[in-house]
Amino acid sequence: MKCKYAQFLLKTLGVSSVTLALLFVVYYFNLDMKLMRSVVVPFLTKHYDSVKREHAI
Amino acid sequence: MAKQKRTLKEKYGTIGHFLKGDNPCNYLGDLYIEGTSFYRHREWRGVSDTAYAFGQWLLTWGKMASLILRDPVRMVRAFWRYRWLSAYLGAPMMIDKWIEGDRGMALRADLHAVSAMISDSVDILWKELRADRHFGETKWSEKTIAFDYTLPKHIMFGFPGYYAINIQQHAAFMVPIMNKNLGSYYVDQAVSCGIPGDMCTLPLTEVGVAVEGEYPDIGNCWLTTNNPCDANMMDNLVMWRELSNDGKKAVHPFVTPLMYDDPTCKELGVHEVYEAIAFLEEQTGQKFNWETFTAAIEETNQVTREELERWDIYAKTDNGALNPVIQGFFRIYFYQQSASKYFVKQSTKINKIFAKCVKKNIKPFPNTRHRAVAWSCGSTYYSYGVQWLYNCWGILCVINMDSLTGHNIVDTDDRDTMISDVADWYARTPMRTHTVGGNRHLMQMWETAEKFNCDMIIMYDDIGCKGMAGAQGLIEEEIRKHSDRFHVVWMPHSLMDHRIVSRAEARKTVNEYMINVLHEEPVDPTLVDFDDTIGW
Repeated sequence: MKCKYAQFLLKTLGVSSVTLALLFVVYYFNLDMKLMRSVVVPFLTKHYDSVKREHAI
Repeated sequence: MAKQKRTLKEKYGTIGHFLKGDNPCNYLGDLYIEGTSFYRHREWRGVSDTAYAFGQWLLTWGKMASLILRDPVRMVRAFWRYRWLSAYLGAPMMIDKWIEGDRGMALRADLHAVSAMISDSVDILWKELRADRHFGETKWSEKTIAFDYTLPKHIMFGFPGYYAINIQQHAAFMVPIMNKNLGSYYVDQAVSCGIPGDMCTLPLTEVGVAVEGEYPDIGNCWLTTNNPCDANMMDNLVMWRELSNDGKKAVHPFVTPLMYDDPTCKELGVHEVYEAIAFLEEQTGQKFNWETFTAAIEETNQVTREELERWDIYAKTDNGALNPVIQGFFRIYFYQQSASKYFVKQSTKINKIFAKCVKKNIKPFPNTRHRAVAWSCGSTYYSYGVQWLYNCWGILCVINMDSLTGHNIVDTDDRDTMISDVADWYARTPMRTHTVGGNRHLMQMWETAEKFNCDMIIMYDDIGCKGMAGAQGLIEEEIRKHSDRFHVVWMPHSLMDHRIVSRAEARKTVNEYMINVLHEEPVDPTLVDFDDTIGW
């Protein structure tokens, strides 16, 4: 029982550490903003540009 | 300029500098991808500070994710409809620029302030989008009331259960701070409808958002104001049509006197506050609640007192811990929001950091060569220009004009006195405090510079501002009179449109003064001349 508990704890710790390490890689290499710049914002901009809007003042 | 490749040895010298992040020069220009404003990689600030900044980055994304998760369908629809909302995806990059070069106490204080601003922005975006009729009427639609963005929300705290949104703030004003191209986009939409393109670009951006039909449709009424700048008069009709749904919503102009320090105007200012309260009572069907209002004013007083303590530290010591860009935004943002729980919480934490710096004589900005006051209104698309001044030339802007908006402590003992003091807050909104209402307001830069122990004035030159252009001759004359005491450096910009004056051009003007007049060497040579044209 104790061993299972320790295994679970180790596994959780391991998964958390790997996740944190991966997130740090994303952070340090600015991958979040590079993704926004190259994929997300151009995709949204293309959509916004395709919408026909009536300009009335 | 071609990027110089620097080895870790060249950059940090020793392993100690690498681990602590206290290398003599940060070579921040090397971080930029050639020709863009994007970082190749984020800044290494030493183990402890990088870990701290990383933690805050995680929190920022967490807060942004929480906004989406509150109502994923409505939020996706909002992103699909509102171009301006896409700018907020660049918020982490904005923070990187705002804290560029920060270390130790400065980094911690700045990130506390950023945390308040991000939390509050998420909260406001949620409040306006949940009420937005463009995505269906909800129980909040009529409980959320639009205020003009230069009109602080104070009186709304007397109507518990109702929420005020500074309607142009998140949809227009803040957009180029995160993505400069969107400022230009909305300027073009306004100009394409016949609005003159040679006026201030801020009202042009507001109009651009209006003609695109991109303001959230909230509430049944709108509180507008006499805006602090004459260019705003050009956009009044367009804004009225858009924000009142072409006259379907009640509109009340909550005006404030421009000659606010003229005692004969005081009565008018107080009358206007009571009139605005009466309008809201009529619209909401709810009596003004003095208890909730007083509680909010006392909370606002608390943060204002803490702000004044910080100003005192800036003025008398070198121990102030908020960097120039964060100091300015934290102050101006709070002035608009008032009594925000996020600011109340973080302001106290920031003051603890300031107190620690004073006690141990920690100088959070060790590269300071000049102490400066930044005067007139700064640019949005180069909001972090003041951080560049410090990182490149050691010019620390300890205070700026827009921070000096209404900061009197409101006496809450007596209702009439309280309203009279609140009227003073309303009269002293950003820009209005110093650039209108008489030449003497503008010329307060000299006494402010003296008070904050400055030797330099960074004079923003918003080339679209007709009011400031009209005063330019007078300013030049005053500059000559004060030339033995202060260096005055003009820094041009075009507020919301980066195409008119680029960031590089703003830097070039300062560089020329620092090199040719003061004959100084840069603190960080990689920041003197670099190309960040492409990008946000």
